This record gives sequence, C-alpha cells and structure tokens, in this order.
Amino acid sequence: MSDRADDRDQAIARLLLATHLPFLAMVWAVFAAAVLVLVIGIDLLGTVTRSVWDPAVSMVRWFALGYGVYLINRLLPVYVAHGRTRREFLRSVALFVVVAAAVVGGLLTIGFALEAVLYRVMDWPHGVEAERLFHSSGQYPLVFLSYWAMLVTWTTIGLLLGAGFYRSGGNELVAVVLALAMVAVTGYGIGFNGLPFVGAVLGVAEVPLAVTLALCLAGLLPGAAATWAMARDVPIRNRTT
Amino acid sequence: MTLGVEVAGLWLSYGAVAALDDLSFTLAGGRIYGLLGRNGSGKTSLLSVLAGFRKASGGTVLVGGQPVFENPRSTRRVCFIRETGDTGDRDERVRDALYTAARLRPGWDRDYADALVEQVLIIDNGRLVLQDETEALRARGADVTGPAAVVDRFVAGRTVLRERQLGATKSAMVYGGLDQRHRRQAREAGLDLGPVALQDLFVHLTQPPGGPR
Repeated sequence: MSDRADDRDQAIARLLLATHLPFLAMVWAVFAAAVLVLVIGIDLLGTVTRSVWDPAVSMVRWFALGYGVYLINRLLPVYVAHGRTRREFLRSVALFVVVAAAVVGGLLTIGFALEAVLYRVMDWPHGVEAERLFHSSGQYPLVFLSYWAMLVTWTTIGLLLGAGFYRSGGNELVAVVLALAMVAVTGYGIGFNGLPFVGAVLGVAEVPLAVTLALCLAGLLPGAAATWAMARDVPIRNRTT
Repeated sequence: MTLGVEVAGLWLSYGAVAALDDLSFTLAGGRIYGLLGRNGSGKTSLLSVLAGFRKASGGTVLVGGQPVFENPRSTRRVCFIRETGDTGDRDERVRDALYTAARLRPGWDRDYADALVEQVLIIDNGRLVLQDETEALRARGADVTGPAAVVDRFVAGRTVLRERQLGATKSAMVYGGLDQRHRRQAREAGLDLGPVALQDLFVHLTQPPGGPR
C-alpha cells in the first residue's frame, strides 16, 4: 500500500456523503415545510409582500456553522479512532463541504423556485433581500451560487471555530478573530454578511461576479489554512460529554 | 499479522509537566500485553502516543517498524479503544460503530466482526454491556443475553473479549509501579506478577498455571 494510494482513498468523503446527505435532505424538507407554514400564516394574518424563503435561507448559515463545528469536534476524533489520519480527514471534509454545499444549495434553490411558482399563482410579489447577488426570481444560477457560497463559507467558519476551540490554548481566540474577518470579507461579496453594521458601512455589493468570487476566496483561503494549521496534529482528547 | 512496538527515548509533556520521560522499550508482536499503573502515571498518555492520538514531544515510536503519528500505513492497523467511546457518537449503537469501521478499515472482516458481536459482546438494546453491569441490568429485568465478557479494568480499561478469544498468552507491562490494591486485583484475576524489568517500570505478567481459564 503506497502513500499515493492512500491519498486517493476517498472512503472518508464517501462515508460522510452517504451518511449525511440523507439527513441534510430531511432537514431541507422540514425547513421547506416550516417556510410554507410561515407563508400561510403571513397570508392569513396580513399581506405577503416579499419572499419568505430568501431571508429564511440566511438563517441556514448558522446551521452550516454548527455543522462545521460538529465535523471537527465530534467526527475528527471518531475517524482518527477508526485508523484515519487527521490529514486524510481534513482533505475529505473539504471535499465533503464543497459537494454537500452544492447539494443543499441546489435544494435551497429548488425551494426558492417552488416559492416563486406559488407566489405567481397567488399573485404575490416575490421580492428578495437588497444585498443579494440576485435581484429577481429568474436568476437561478446566481441564486444557486449565492446559496452554495454561503454554505461553503459558513461551514468553513464552523470548521475554523471547531478547530480553534478543540485545540484551545489560545487558538480559540485566533479562530474567533479570523472568523469575524471571514464573515466580513465573504459576506460583503456574497450578500450574507451576518454581522451588524458591516452591511451599513460597506453598502450593498454591486461588484462584478469575478470580484465577488475573489472576495470569497480571500476570506475562505486564510480560514481554511488556519483550520489546517490548528487541526493537522491536534491531540485527540478524552471525551467528556 | 502481528505488529511489534519499539519505543526509544519517548517523552511527552503537557506544558511544564512531563507525562512520559525518556521511555524506551520493545514489545514483540504476537502477544497480548496489559498496561498497569497508578492514576496519573501516564498509561493513557503512552497508549495515546502508541495509537497516534497524540504527538510525542520527543523520541521515536514504531509500530510494525513504521512511525505511527499521521502515518496511514500504521494508523490503519492500530485500534485504540478508550472507555470514552471515541469510535462513535455517544448515542451510537455497537453495529453503527462497526459499520463505520467496515467502511474505513481496509481488509475489515465483517463476518468475523458480526460473529464476535454474537459470541462475545452482550448487547442490550444495541448498547454494549460489560460484565460488571450485567447483574445490575438483570436485576432491573433487562433482557441480557450472551456469554459474559471479561472485564480487566485494572489491566487495560474495559476489555470486552473473553479470555479464550485472547489466545494462549497474556502479558502486561506496568508503568509507574503497582500498589497493594493492584496486586490484589491481579491475584484475584489469576495473574502472576512476574519479575520487575525495564528500569523497574515494567512488570511482566505471565499466564497463570494451567493455561487460560
């Protein structure tokens, strides 16, 4: 068995996708049902004036953040205990995050499209948040790109925080500072900044798509590098909870 | 395939505290060893380094002639089970952990694992039950089936394999010395404490006369 063969072993990514994608699909179904109930409630009690799905999706970023923390704090020790190295796990998690974000981003885009159909039938205006990359219901590639980038970004922030707090010894403080910087930089680009004041100071992003992607990478790469640095040789602690 | 262990000049520190200090020993493959010692003597720290859970501060650790830490050639062949249950989430069932192992361990023998689960472990509603819990569970009316497992708490945490599954030879090394309580427990378990060896840190335990019980 050569090291090169080990590098090509995607067992971790396959296992993560096989076990987590069905769960994420179920979460999406619950989320969609909740948004539908909310829309019906707004219609019964008042007037539907804009998309409910789009601002609800912005809440998903906190779920993504929690998932990132979970991947490091809970699953890294499990995979090491099953004979995998941290290096293998972190590489596989990067692949998992990109693919799972694409799947979940696709589902969120489908939900947005279904909401647009419902609004069209009901003759409701389907307005979206002003800070988004997209400005109308028909821009589905941009909708998908926004949701996918948001999920990748916030899961990576969760990975960083998870690595910082799992390693501790001052790393948690570095992780928090870096995470805030990531939120500010990538949020300005993809329209999900999630921080108070930042949007007001920087205004709405009206920049070319290439600049948006560059901002995403500028926020993601240092965060991913810091996660790698903190987790690549982290001791596996005794579990206490 | 059995793997030998070679440790040379190993030390491990937690800040200013040295948990392992210039430790050297060699363990031949094909045997079963236990590690004994007082609380805080460094047993878990040593095993964590041997299993690649923790990076040594210095020295070398070879398992099967290969470095362990972050070396997939070695980590694939090492399994370290702590009582904190690292191989799955706390709520996970035994079969879930075995499913994960089957997906991650090359050459995993699923049939053999299933057979061991049936023959060796006591499963109560999917949860692993150890020998010392069995009577309490039965008293509560739990449906506990299957043969008993040997629990050598003082040797290697919670051992879940019956003695006859362990083979003919049982050995243990002692790190940090044994107090009277440990020695009494060893005698009660039918183990003979052998001569002190390896800089007075390790005691070799031999199989009791008459073979495995």
